[in-house]
Amino acid sequence: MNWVQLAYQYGLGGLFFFVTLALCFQSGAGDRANPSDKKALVYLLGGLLLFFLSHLVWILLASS
Amino acid sequence: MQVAHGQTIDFVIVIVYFVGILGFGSFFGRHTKTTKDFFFSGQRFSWWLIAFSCVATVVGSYSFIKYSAVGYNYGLSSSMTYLNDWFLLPLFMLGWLPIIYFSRVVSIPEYFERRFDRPTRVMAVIFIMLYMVGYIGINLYTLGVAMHAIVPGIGVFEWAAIISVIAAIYVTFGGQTAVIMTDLIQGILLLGAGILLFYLGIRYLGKEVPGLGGLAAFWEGLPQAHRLPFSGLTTPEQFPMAGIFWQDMFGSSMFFYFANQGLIMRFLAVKSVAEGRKAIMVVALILMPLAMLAVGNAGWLGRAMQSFGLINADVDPNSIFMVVAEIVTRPGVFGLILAALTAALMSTVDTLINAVSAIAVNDVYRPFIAPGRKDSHYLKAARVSSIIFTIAGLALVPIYMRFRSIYVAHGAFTATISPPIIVAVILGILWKRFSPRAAFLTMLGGGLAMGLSIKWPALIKPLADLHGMDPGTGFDYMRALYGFVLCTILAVVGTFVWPARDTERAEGLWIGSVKKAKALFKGAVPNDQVIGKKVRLALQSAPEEEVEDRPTVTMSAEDAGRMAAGDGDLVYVCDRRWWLGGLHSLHGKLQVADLPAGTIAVPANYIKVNRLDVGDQVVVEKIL
Repeated sequence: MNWVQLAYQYGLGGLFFFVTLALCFQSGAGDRANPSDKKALVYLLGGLLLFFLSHLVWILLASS
Repeated sequence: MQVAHGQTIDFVIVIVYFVGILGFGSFFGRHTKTTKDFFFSGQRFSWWLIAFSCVATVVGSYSFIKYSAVGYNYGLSSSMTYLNDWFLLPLFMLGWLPIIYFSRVVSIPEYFERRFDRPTRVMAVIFIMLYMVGYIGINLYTLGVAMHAIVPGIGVFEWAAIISVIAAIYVTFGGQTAVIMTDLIQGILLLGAGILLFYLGIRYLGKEVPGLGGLAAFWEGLPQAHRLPFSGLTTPEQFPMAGIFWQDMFGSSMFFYFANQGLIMRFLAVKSVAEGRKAIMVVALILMPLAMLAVGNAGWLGRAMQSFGLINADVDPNSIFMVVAEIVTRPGVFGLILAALTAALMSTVDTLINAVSAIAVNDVYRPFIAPGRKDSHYLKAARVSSIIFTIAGLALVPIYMRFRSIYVAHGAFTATISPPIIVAVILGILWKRFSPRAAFLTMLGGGLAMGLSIKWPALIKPLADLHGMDPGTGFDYMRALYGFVLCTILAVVGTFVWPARDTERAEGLWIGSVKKAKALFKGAVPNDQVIGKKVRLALQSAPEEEVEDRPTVTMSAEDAGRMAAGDGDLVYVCDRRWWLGGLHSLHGKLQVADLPAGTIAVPANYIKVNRLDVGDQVVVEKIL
């Protein structure tokens, strides 16, 4: 099955994602008071969740 | 004309497509009056034009052949390379995009000079131009090979010449606008044709496999391991998941998002940073998964067909795209699929021609050969260089045909330069103290270290060992990881040994100074804490203004209030026809005046240049 690969991709990829996201907001490149940046943050997190869930469901379907 | 695959009608459709795209692309020559138009289309376009253009650029002529073969061999895991870009988006959307847009960086080498120094810029110019010219040749060569297999009456070089002449003509006349507009058509065609092929394949399976519907037959026909989204972590040796993760996501995709000149030019053509963010999200979330389906499905269908004995078991994976397309399509539809194949090539090559010409003019000709000339002179130089680089790419085709080793060498060269350039850009964005000397060392030393690893692959061993990979088992895929680790070490050590003397140089060019870059771009304090409404106003003519960066546009206090805008704010004025994607539009500096509500006044010369019409309704929105 693909569980190790899922953990590898979302573990390392997720690390890069969250570290760069945090650095952008910490440095001021992203501003939570700015509506455009706030919207970007919501979409970024939502997109990551969507990809993760899609891969999860895909693995479950392929394994059944 | 002898046609090996398909029938004469298919060939005719491809010819009609060529003529149509040539006319459509050349039509946009009238929109190109300055180098800003030629390279960046005047920062005016909507997100959807840029999104389609990005996908058309990513999908090259080899994509259909390559990913169909991968899909046939390894199943749905061929999707891995198209579904792992999301991790890069925070840095792109919140860091890199605002930096290049607000700082008006026009090329990667220019970023290197402004952020570091001139020697680093020169090295970037050499690396990137060698890569791009070679890549034009590779795309022309692979398309020539594919088309020659279909129509053997025309040779590989002749096919490459036909395609390059068409692309060169419309890029030379129409510049970036022609590239973006033709890419829209080509992107829709290649995605549409690929998805149509999948639909026809499913329908074919439904008819040929008794007792099962098309989708059920497709799923049942795939071996269990072929249904999974990932391959094994370290197996098979030609397609290990961990290797693909590093080589594709941290190598190819990162290079595409952060160091691809063509992509940077696309995002400088967008009307605002917010619109650019929308474009890249749609690319990664919707269009890339669709592209994955379009380019790989022939391989998946082929495997399912083979399970039911509908095609020979000994079929060559590299020809599976053609085999499946010919089985499931009718004459005419097959021609459409072939047109999609050529669309994929042309939309990649046109971007490369325009991008390499941008670097040649902005990073070589303007600063070193002929500084201080009029813009019309540089526009002419841009057009001439488009032709020269097309010829240079075409000249490589016979060399690739004769010496396979040179083709392979370009692949090795690409692998060599990608990690050093990516690490230099990423650390340049993230780390203010990253010094010029360290950046130079990263590029030179990193490139050298990558080259050595090609000569002596044992250098990669420690990192490959971590994954349980031995030589001959996907070992080479870990070269990208080796490159990133080594280049990062060089960058950090270099910065501590030779610290940056002038950290102010980084202002506007690293993530900690995006706000400052935004203010400099506007020329005043940004007004983006409240998003106003878009308003429809009647366009009036105002007295002509000397042509500067942005004209003054005037409107009533009432209309400005609806937009949450005030004096000095940056606004975007666009033709009301949304489907033109911003082709007729301009940016202006707002001045609130005693004007009737529902009207906007723009200097007459700007109205004319940007193809707006007095009396028409325009859509106006606040940008900053």
